[in-house]
Amino acid sequence: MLTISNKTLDKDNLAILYLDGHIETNSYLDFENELNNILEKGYSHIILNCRDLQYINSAGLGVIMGLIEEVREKDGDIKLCAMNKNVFKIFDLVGFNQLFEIYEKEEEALNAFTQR
Amino acid sequence: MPLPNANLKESQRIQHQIYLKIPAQSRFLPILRDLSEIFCRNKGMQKAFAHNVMLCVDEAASNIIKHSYKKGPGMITTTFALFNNVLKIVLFHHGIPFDVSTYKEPDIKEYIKAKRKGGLGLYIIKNLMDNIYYYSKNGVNQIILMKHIT
Repeated sequence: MLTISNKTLDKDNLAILYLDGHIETNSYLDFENELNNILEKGYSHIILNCRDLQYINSAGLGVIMGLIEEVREKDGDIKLCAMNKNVFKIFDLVGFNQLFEIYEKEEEALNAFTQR
Repeated sequence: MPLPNANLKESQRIQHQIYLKIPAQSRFLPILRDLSEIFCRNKGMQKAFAHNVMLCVDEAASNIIKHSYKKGPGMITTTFALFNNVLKIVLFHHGIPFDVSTYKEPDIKEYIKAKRKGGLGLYIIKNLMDNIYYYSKNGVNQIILMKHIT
């Protein structure tokens, strides 16, 4: 089960997605659709707040992997924050920590976008 | 300490064993994940260890559903066993066997450039488990995951 809510800051082209639950084989398409909706609305600075994300598998990682190039082509980025240890370990394992900016706090991710 | 061979001798004492048979459909994966975690936690394994085992079982079963049963329905039977200090999980299926020779270590940077979405599951299993074996005989395929209990 996955619930996604979002908050947007129009002046910065920025959207924060709050991921709550599990991103896996049964829910990754919801995650992908939500990200695509945000992109279609013109938001290219995206923060994934993972505070309530309890589980992610390769299907969820694949969504981020498959979309990041498109986001960066639009001069945007996907930054992540507030991961629990288990979720961070999976990002670390596949090397995403080298390719994505991961912050402890949402505020830090926000600052990374807004203070460029 | 070296890992025992995947074909552990029957004389080796099986400490605990359970199994679960599910239709090869993704909506049944949460049951398999829950059982993986419960089995590990009940045997005293750490939470992070149990999480990793659950993830590997999930990835292996997801691959079976996606690739081995892409042409039709089937079942997946998963056994969980403790042999001395080794956790052994076997996923049995009757679908298309996995061709180990086709596996290549993913280059994540290349995957990102190519906007590729798949190909991480087996990499995760290989990096979290101590060993992964594939057997296929008489139409029965086995994916065997093994991990020393730490």
